[in-house]
Amino acid sequence: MNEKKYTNTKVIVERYDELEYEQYLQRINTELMAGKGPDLIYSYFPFDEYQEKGMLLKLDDMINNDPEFDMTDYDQTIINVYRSKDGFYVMPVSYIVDSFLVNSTLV
Amino acid sequence: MELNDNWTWLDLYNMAKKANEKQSPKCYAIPKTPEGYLFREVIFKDIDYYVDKNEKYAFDTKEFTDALKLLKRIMDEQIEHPDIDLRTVIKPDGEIELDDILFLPIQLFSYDNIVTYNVYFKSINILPVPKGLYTGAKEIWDDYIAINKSTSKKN
Repeated sequence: MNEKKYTNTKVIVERYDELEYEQYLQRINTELMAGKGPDLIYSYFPFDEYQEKGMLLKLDDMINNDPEFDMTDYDQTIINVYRSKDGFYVMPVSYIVDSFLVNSTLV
Repeated sequence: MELNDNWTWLDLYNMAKKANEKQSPKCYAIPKTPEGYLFREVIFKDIDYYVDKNEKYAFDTKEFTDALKLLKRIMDEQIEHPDIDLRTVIKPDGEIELDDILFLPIQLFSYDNIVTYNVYFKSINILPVPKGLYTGAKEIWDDYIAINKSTSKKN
């Protein structure tokens, strides 16, 4: 979708499937500390630590200046988990809700 | 049995007991769960009730021992199936065979998930996971994304 809208952009997805979680974290840490690494970081990572160390871009201005982006479209309970005193650095993109399927033939 | 989306693990335990008063052979409340699942659900979910913001503990209270007793009853009385786990219940093709199990813990990603379950499971009913005894705390698992501050593509 991004490549269709921005035709001069090529998105490269770098996966870390072959790494154990600790190895993945170590690699991302090293890359970010060196001022390198992927442009976007998606998955589980210690966002509060990265934010504190100034490794993440503050999103507030981008969000406020984008007329197509409305923060109220999203679940505010989830959004507020990521809102810090300093601003907004991490965007939740999906979430899972634990539920129980009922066996209607027995219950 | 009356289902209630405000139910607790005590309600689930009582439901399993009641079902077994008439059911023969035995039926189970849930499939075999991974180690630590029941502790996390029945006890740890209410951690905010037992430990407050000032780190005052309530582990010597009747409420806490009642919760532990409930957990013990759930484990001792085989409320969960001794052999059949989640992987066994959900077949590789997505079909679900619950047979003698009353409830199946699932994770919903979207409303489409409900439709998918409906394909394989007639008369579908989905409830929130039971609450702990004292709080309505829920666990939500999420993925998130951030932008590397060093990116050259900020625009």
